[in-house]
Amino acid sequence: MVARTASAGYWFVTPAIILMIVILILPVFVAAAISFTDYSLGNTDFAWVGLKNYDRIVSRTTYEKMLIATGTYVGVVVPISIALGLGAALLINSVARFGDLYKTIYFLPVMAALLAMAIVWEFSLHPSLGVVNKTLASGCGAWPEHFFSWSWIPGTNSAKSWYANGCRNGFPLWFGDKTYTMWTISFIGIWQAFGFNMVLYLAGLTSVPRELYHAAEMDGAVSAWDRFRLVTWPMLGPTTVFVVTISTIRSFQVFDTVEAITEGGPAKSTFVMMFAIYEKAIQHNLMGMGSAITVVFLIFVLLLTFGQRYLVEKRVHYS
Amino acid sequence: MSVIRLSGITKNFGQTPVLRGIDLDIADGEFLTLVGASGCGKSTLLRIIAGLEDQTDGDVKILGESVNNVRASRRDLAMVFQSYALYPHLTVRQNMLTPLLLRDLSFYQRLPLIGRAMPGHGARMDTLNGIVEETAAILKIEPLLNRKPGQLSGGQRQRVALGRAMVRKPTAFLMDEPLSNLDAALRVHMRAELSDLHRSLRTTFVYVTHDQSEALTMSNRMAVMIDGLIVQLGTPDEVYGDPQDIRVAEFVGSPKINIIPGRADSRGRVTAYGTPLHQGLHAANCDVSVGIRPEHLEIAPGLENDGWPFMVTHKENLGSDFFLHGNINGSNHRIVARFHPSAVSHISPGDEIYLRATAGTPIVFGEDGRRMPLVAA
Repeated sequence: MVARTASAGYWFVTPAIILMIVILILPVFVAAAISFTDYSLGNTDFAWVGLKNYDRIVSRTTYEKMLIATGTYVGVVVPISIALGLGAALLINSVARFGDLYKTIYFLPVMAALLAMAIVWEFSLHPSLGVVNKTLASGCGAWPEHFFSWSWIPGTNSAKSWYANGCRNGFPLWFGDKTYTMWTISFIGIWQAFGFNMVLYLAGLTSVPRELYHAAEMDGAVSAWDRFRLVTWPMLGPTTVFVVTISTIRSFQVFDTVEAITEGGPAKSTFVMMFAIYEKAIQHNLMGMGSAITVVFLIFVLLLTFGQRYLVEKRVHYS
Repeated sequence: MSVIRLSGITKNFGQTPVLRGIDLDIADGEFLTLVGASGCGKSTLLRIIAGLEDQTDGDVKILGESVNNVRASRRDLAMVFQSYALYPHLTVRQNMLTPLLLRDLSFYQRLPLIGRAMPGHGARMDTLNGIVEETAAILKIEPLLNRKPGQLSGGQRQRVALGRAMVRKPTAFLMDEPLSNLDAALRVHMRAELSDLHRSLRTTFVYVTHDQSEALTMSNRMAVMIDGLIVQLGTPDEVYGDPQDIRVAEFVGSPKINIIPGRADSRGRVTAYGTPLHQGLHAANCDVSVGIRPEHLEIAPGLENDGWPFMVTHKENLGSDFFLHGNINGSNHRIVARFHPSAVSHISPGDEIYLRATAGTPIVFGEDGRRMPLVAA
């Protein structure tokens, strides 16, 4: 009788567990399995190719470029968007008026579809028609060139400055020159992501106890920096861990801008992982290769999440 | 000499007045308690002294100097908060070091790596660590120095918060309901410890509480605040035995003072609920309130005309004392009387007895709530 009652519990959770396995866990294992094959969509059969797909990721320069592009994007977008998000949150938190207005404005890029905004950026940064280069060009021979070529600082060679060079040889092809493209894509990524981080930090700031600031003041923390180091930053620890994790995962997932503007180019300089998966699995119909990149992607994200869980979390929750 | 002098302090939050003209001199080394019900403005007043809040009008002087334009961190006061407000990411030692570091080291000396390389840093830190350990020894928290606040009990956190306030040897300690997060037994224990600490430090304590028993047990002087005003300032004995306002009488003392409606006749003789007090007032023909503390009631021998007929509804055993709850003459006027156990052993709920005030103890208040002096009638 007792045993029957105990087993009844399993029957109750079985539907939920089956759903969970089928919807959440099985696809990952299917992708992992496909990554060891040369399967193409529509083919009736496939062959096991072992680690060949993974071997390619390690050996081929295309995939080396993929890892470099993804790494650069993550390495640039995550720290800068977090720093800007934190800065904006602190500033908005300190103003008595217009806080809501600033919040809304900074959050606009997050709400807008990145694909649509990518098109706007593509127009703005167009080499000859774009408003950015036109504005830069209109400054040539006038005070902006004088100012930004630093000729007013003694000891600088203004002719060699970036601005003067642009005036002579034309301003950069933001999406066509491989020295610029990754940074331009990163810039759009930062522009899009920092509003989100700001909102997370604003939420984190509301949970910092006011009394801690008063205690810091009584203890002699006079400057804003002292208060930040003593109270704000430590108390934002859990928020920061979350923001770092979320920003990193989102940066690993960058796709819209690359697909809309550069398609991985020029010279694979913006060939990020998500775009590689898309190109291999969907465009070239190489499901095995696409799955292999997906698995690598998943491993990155899992490492990150476990790293957060076991290394950092214990240090930022103080109880 | 007064350490802190407040004159004409007012504070409005928007249109709402919270403090309505506070004048107060706090003497060097005294334990002064600001006591009142919640919302009376006592915490606001403390925060104005601390500099965490600006007064709307009036002056705060510390050691004779006006500090109206001096920020909290420069006033050389230390504060203990109700929530303790310890830095959760720092150990107890670091928590207690913080005020020393922020005051004694320059900005560059406090920088994480550069600071250590600055000349004299090691010796400086040894001195400061010495101060922390000394303070920890006084508070008996040495074994906790390397723990974080999250690993401490409420009472231990309380001590650490005290320690953090003490290390700097400030001009005065400001305490905002420091015991109210502790359980009852620990609170009683900490009352005694705080008094001991005050005696040994000989520093000024300004202590805010809503608990009149804390005010009575610990302070040299207590200021009873009601609706943004100090209604009475005096030693606990004065405030308890000689309240100048009916609100003070009702606030201080537990169980609460019994208020019995009375009337002064044309010659000023006071009668309360039909029973003459045998004392009179300078005023005549007016309604009054007669206040009698629970311990100032005694059982009258029944047939005499000077006792209130009292119906016992409940008998409360506190071990050392018994409280008799009941009402006068079947009215809904509740009375509490305190007796020695032997005096009421034969009385049980439902009994009708006679109570009278012990000689010379009633306190009479006029219709405006002000105290009216009694004269022999």
